[in-house]
Amino acid sequence: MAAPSRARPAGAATLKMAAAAVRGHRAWRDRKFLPRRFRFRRVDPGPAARPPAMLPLVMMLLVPPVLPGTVEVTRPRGVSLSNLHFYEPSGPFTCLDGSATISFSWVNDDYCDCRDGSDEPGTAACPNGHFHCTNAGYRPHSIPSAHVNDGICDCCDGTDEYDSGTNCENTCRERGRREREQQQRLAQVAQEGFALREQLVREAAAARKDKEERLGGLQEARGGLEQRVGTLRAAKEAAEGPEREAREEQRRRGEAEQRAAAEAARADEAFAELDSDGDGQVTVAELRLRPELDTDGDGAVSEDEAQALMGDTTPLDAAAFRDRLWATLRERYRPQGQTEPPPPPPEPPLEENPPEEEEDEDEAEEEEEEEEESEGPEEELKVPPPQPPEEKGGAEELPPLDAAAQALVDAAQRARQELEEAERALKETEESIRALEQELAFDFGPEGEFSYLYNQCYELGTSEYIYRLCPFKRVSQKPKHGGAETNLGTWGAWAGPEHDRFSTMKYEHGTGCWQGPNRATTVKLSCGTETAVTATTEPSRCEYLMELVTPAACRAPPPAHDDHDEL
Amino acid sequence: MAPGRRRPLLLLLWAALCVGPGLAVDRSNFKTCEQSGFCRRQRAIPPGRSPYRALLDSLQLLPDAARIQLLNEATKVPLMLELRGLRGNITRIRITELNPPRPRFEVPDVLMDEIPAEPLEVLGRDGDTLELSLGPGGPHRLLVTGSPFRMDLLRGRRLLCSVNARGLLVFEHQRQRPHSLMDIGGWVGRAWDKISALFHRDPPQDAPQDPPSENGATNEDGATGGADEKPPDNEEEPGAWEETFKTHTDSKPYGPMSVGLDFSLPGFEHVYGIPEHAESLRLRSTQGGDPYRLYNLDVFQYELHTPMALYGSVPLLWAHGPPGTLGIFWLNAAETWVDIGSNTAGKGGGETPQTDVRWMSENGVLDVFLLLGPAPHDVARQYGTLTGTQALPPLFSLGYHQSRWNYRDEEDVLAVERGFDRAAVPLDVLWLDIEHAHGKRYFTWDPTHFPHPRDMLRRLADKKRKMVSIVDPHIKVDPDYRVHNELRARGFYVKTKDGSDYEGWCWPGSTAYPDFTNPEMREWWASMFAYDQYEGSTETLFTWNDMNEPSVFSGPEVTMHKDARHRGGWEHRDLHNLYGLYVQMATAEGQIRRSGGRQRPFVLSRAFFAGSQRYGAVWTGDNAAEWGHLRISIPMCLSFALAALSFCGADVGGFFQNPDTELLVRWYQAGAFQPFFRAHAHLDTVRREPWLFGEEVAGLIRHAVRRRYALLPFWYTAFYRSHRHALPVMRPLWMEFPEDTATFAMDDQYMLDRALLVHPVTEQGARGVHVYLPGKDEVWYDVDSHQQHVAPQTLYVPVTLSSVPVFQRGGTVVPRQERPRRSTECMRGDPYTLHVALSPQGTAEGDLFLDDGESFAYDTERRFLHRRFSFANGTLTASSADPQGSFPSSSWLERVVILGAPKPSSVLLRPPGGPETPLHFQLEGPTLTLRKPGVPIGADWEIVLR
Repeated sequence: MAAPSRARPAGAATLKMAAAAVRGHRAWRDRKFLPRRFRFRRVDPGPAARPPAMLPLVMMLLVPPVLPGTVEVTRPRGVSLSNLHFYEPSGPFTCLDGSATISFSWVNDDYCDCRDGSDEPGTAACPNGHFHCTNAGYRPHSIPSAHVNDGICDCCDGTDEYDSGTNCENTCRERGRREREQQQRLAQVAQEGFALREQLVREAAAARKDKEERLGGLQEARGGLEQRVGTLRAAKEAAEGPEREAREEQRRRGEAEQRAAAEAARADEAFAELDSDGDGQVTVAELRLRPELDTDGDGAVSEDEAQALMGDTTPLDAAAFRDRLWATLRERYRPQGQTEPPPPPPEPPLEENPPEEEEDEDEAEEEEEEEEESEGPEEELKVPPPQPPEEKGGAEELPPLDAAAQALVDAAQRARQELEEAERALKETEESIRALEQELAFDFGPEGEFSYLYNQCYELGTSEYIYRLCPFKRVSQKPKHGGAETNLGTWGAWAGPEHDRFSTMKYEHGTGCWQGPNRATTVKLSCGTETAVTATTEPSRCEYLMELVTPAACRAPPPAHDDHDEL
Repeated sequence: MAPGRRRPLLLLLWAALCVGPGLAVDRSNFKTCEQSGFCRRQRAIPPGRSPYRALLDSLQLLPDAARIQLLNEATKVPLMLELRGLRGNITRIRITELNPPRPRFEVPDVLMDEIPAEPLEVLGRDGDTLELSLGPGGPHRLLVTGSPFRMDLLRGRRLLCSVNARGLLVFEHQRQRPHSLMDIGGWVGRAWDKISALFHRDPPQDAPQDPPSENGATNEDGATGGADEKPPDNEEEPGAWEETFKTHTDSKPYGPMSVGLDFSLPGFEHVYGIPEHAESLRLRSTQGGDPYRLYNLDVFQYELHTPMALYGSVPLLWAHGPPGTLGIFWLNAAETWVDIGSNTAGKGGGETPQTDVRWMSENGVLDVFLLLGPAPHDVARQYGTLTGTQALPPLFSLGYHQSRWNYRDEEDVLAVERGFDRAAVPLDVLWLDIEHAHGKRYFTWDPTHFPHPRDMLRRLADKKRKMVSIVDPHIKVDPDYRVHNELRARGFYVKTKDGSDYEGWCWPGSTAYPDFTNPEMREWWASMFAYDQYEGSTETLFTWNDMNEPSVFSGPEVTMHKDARHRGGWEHRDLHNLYGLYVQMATAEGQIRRSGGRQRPFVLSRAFFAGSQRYGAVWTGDNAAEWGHLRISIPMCLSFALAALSFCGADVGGFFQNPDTELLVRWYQAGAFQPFFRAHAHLDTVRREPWLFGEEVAGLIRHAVRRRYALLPFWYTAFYRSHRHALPVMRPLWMEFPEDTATFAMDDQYMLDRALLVHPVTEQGARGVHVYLPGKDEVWYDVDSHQQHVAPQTLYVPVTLSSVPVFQRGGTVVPRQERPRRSTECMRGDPYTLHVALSPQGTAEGDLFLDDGESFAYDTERRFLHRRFSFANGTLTASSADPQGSFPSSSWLERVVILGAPKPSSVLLRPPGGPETPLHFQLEGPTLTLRKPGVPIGADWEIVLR
């Protein structure tokens, strides 16, 4: 207020002075910028007018507050009620920082005399001063002096623009109403959210207890399992000795049989060849056709020689040939068309496969390590169960085991299986322990209220991307229209200010940016009745900002809402 | 010894160290002189064997000119030399072909209205020498020698400048293509006639023709000195009729047409100007290296201290020294190289120092203006008479600009705007780079991120703030883009040599380039800025023209092919350096028109040419967040200023890379004292709004920006002076202290207008700076401590992170507005403080210009105030500096701070006709503060100290 046209009867004497002072300053103001209400009051038009120095310097602009229903108090413009007692018109004014004492007429005279700006609470004269808006109907507010009369309405009651020609509407009531509604909404959310939070806290405590118990149980079980694995390993080793022997015996036997069969096949071949007339019998005459069978070195096979080779029986059928004559002939016999002795049968290929079992174990360990690194139980990269050792390399060719040997092998197989199962159980237990320990070690807030976010993921779609936040794990971004997912950071730490550490999460070391840093995401948490990612932006290149509402971030609402304004 | 003297060596060392890991330009993308055919040809010419002879008997004295024929004795091709003595000590020398088979390009739209020429007079003739007076009664005479041709310009008895003294005049006359190619060449020429006729309503009046045979008969390049041999030298030389650089072939249908000329400047050791180069203020000798190049280019990550071309070109060179000050304005818009030779470079001295300057241009005519001074201010004015003066910027544009590639969306923009209020850092303009447009289709808005531009602009306007959006001259080739369709339909695009629309690659992908040399096209472009054409624009939206060299990612040297065709059949090679000027001209015109001719425009341009000062602001392009780039911003802007481009700035903080907080703070402090004050950053840098680095840094930046705002009345007045009187705002020290040789090479400190000496801290970790205070028997006042220092001296000033050493010259008055408002508009009507710094004689003089800050009313309706404040005999007097102006300002005089005054017993204010009033005053150390005179700023008054 205090524009002359808005002058109210209250404090009329002082207002007269104020009006005069304002007119003094207004006198040279451009008509264009002058609001209509001033135009009628212009006394001295043009630059030749008397300067304001000629006018009373007293510029104590007293403001009658416009709060209906309250006692009217006059005070210098821009002074808060709490500071009113410093501004006593009857005496000199001492700057609030004590830097100077000046005549009270220099208070609010649009010239800065105090270092702290306290002599000009109602003008823009001091660079470091403050103007107090009463903002009846809303909240009182203090603005920098530089915002006074700068053409921008900063106070909702418009009192900051009393001399700029800017017509500010009083929006305090509307704002107050909106704020109260908003506060009510927020209060309701806060209340509901806080109730949910309490529940979360209870659940977290219960879950923690449960997990701790489970951990205890698992740790106990681990002891038993370790023992069992030890025992079973010894048993397995014990059972594998006899099994190895039985297998060795089996292999030896198999080899002998294989050799015999091969010999028989050669004999049959030889028989077929020697039986040159194809009558199914080998005769002396037929033997004589084979010079390589010469025994006395004369280069030919005599009948005697042939007979001697044949022995008593003649002719010989295939079976008899195989059984009786082949042993005698085999060294000398050459298959038709072949002068050199036949190449020895190719050696069976060397066993190149390393022991299967060990390999499996190695793989399993590696995968285990990977899993630890990724810390991602949600990435169900379960270790495939170790394959039972496969009997490789011509098992079917081996002769069947006899019952006793089979029993030994079966026993070893059982021992192995039992060990594997026990080891798997141990590993699983250890994993569970690790996961539990990790989870229990996490800082889920002072009361564990954030623990429910663990193992959850929340998504938000924008026009281009789907953003995914898996709290305490990672943040990622996936283009909506195809393309690879980008890691926007993995869990780093709580990163709020000291007094409010759990208001912000930091995710770091995401995918690197071209010529830039690795991507990182800051997640701001706020109170809500649901859990959701509500906004995501990239305020700086490769630095993302996400907003997560969660009941866990709700505070205890104040006992009763105090809706009382100053004044 | 001034610290400036040591600086270049240090910088060189630094640059050498930094070449490895730092950012570096890919030099192979840009031509050396050796790779530029005409530069190679011309540089190979040995001095002292000029084949040109002036036929003195052919002298023709016209009322405004003298004409003399020149003959190339080797080729017998006649040329026409035309001499003019223009009013105000300007001599114009033009050389053209006497019988050109095809007109040569003469630079249009750069020179202001015809300057009246003084009648020349023959003073005498002595054998082979003719003596002319350049204007009646004046001190300047020109001696023209016949054989070999040379000219010597004298002031009184002193030789100022010799022309062709080294015999390096080159004028490659137009000739016939060698026989094997002639037919094809002729065919192409005729075909072009037809094609261009299809694309232009008026058939080009200067369409290429086959050269007449009598000229084509002799083919030697005269300058090579070859006498009668038949095989012509330069046509044997590769590159005469076709040149290939990297993968690009330049067809050169008209063959070699280059021009060149040398100037010898006896007595001068210091030459300056010819921006744009990332170079010290004083130009170095180019002996043993490449010449300085003028060819507007988009150079990615440019290096410091090289003669390489950059974004803009002004072919104006200054020489300053004991003989006075001289300017050489070489009016040619083709690719140009400038060699600087010095007979004192690297020598002990002894002989008279002399600087030799040699200009070489690929095309066009030879048109030179010698600006004869004699004082620095005279040369500035002479150049202003020729090419115009700095446009008076709208007041807001002298405030602080916040830019970034890119503010993402409307929310981001408004959040940043709020951030400035929260951090209490003044801000006038927020900028939007290319991402704001829909797929880089300029004149549009990205519908996702900027769906409601008018609302956004209104919300900024409510806070008295403006916005600048980028509008680049490359247009996306897209049949769904209205701008493209209209340009194509109207035939407004630049054409290829074959007559189709020239297309290249730039930000939006495939792009075409409007032919800004076509006035109809410019007219159309201007109309695009109407509020109903540029949808979402308002009167608070202004424009940034980037990439207007033009940048063509796919073109030779990242620019347009030289054989591309413009209106009238001119090749791009003829006018390359003009393109950017036309873009800014048309854009500024558009802004003026949208307001019905009332409001002053604001357009920032990266490319520029002589005359660009008339259209707005320029900046030093894509610099880097390095201390060297901070340092170079001063000499670069000083070079711009010498070329009349007063509204110059560098990206505060550095465009590429991330500055540390010290560099950022130092850059804000330096930028606050440079004319165009804008922070800008690359897309890949981290955010760097002032409040993002903690309260200490925010406080330092706030302080720097507020200092800028407090001095805005001073800046605005300086710009008005630049606008009216062609004097640069930012000036080399020697412009104000032309006798003080210690200042001639200084470029780490400078003057603002005539009152402030600024020496920003530009060294990392600096604990002090050496400030040279010039001026015999003068005094300076530290503007922070008000401490007085006598001059001349080199003063060691200890500095902290908040220090910006600035000194006010004794004898000046600086007007200020000290209320730390949010923006310039919020300061309207604020009262003024005068800082009166007394000379040892107890006098001071200063002025203040003010108007509405935004319209042309200061000019059309004389709605302005120009006040003069002078202090003498203990009395400060306010009077009108220009009674023609009147402006009803509500501002008043808040405070007078007098530096160097003895303590008065009383202070009286005497308003005109009114009674005397005593003023309260306070003397604190050297500072006398007069409390609240309260008089209107437009009133006449006196304040008397007793």
